[in-house]
Amino acid sequence: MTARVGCDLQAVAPVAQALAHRGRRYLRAVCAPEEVQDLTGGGAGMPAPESVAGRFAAKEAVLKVLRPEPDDAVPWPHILIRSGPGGEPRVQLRGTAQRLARQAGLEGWSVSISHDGPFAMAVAVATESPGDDTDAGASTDTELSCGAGAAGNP
Amino acid sequence: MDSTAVETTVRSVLADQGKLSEDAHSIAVDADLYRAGMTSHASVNVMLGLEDEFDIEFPEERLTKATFTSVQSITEAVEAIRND
Repeated sequence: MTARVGCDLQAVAPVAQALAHRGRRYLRAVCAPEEVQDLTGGGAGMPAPESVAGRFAAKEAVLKVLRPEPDDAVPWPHILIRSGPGGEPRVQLRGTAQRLARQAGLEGWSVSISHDGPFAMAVAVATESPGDDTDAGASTDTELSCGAGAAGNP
Repeated sequence: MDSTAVETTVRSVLADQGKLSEDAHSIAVDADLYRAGMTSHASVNVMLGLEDEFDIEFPEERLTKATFTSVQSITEAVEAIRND
């Protein structure tokens, strides 16, 4: 069994600018509806840029673990970072992201997010077992929900 | 709008949103934009800027790293979407 690790550093300022300039449209480009619900509490307001930057860093960290080919379409809303019961970040994958994880036999996902001033960073880890290409054409309607044992947001 | 006009608009969007370390108006048409400093987050804003400028919507299958790798690849994608 081999571990795959991905990390990412995201500046908060460009996220704040995108939220101010494009609002919900930007959010929908990077987040699934469930994530928008998590971030806004179902209200009409905008989430804190730091929170969105942390999630984006986590999505990028997960993407680095998935190692897509340049022609693989992995929309950001297909890599979901949800909050677990204790507030810890959890990974859910859909579509091509889910297919790539299954093909590589990735399981046991953990993701951790941290913030400090103008930056947010995240680390994602998954264990790699022998691939299962039989799922390559599987439906993208189902989700791969991966628990996270990480420290979570500070 | 011909291909040259599309490319010019693509370069303008890259100049506004791409966070490139090079001049988007003069960067080689096949230069790797990620090597030129465009981050994944910047590519999201590039995509949204292109949608605004061309009144298009990028379908999910076009949301690949390859689509946003160069001025040429973006221009080709925009033209393909406009012709769909």
